[in-house]
Amino acid sequence: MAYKAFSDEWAQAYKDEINNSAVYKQAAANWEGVVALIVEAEPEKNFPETKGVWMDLWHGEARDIKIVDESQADKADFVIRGPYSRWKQVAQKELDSTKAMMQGKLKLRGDLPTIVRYTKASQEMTECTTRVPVEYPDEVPA
Amino acid sequence: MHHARAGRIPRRGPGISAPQVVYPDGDEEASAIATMLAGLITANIEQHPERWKDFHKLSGTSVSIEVPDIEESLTLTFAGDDLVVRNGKQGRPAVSIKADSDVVMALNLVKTGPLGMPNYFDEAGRNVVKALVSGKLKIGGMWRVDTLNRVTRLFSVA
Repeated sequence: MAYKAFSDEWAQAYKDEINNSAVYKQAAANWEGVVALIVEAEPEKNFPETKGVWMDLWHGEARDIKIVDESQADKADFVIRGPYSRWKQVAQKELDSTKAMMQGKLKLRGDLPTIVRYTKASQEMTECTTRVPVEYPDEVPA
Repeated sequence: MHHARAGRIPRRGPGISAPQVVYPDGDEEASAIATMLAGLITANIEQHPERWKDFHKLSGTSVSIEVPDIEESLTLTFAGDDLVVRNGKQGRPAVSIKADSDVVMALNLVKTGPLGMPNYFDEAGRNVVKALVSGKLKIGGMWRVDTLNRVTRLFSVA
């Protein structure tokens, strides 16, 4: 079963996938803090509304992952922002998220040394997204 | 018509808690990686004020970083309390680093060991040594060991 991209059901499946990852558990063993991904609207890609993915991550565990609005997402300790199509590229492993930040394709707000320290954990989080079957709005037949 | 403007990040607090980052070509022109690496150094010094010593000892020194996989390069110049950031390789840097983005990130994970020397014996350190041996990491000016160690400490988030 494929989940609609960045829907509540997708968020739950993503959370389960992270919590099943031994690699993530180890790589993020000391991580504390909320990370929010802001997925900017791209109406031409059938993604009309900006959404936030709120990820409450604590010592190798995803305590909560939910879809929130942009203003809520902006309150997280770490915020990574980019347009829908960029996030789709990251989720499909066509674009490395760290490289994307270095290129300015994704914008990061938050304590940089902390983010850099947990590069391996963030790479595993990307791996987890690839294991969640997704239906992308720009691929849904009209 | 574009008017270049020198960008400055304002100093914070009553004292100087972190280096002032100066973009002579204007902060709008700075590449994302230049902003990121400058941000890393300033945040590191804020969190580890003892690293000011390394920063000041490097005054007058330039370091260039070339990242071929994202087609970016930058030059960092240490100038008193300022960190001057320019896009591209500028002048004659004392140390020049050439590596893909993943290796640049790996460099930031090198821990400082006994006597303030970078630790090349744990996993993060071994990854850097492997990159050097395999040619994925090229460092010009390696013989300037003291400069290189200071730069490594300023970049280290470990």
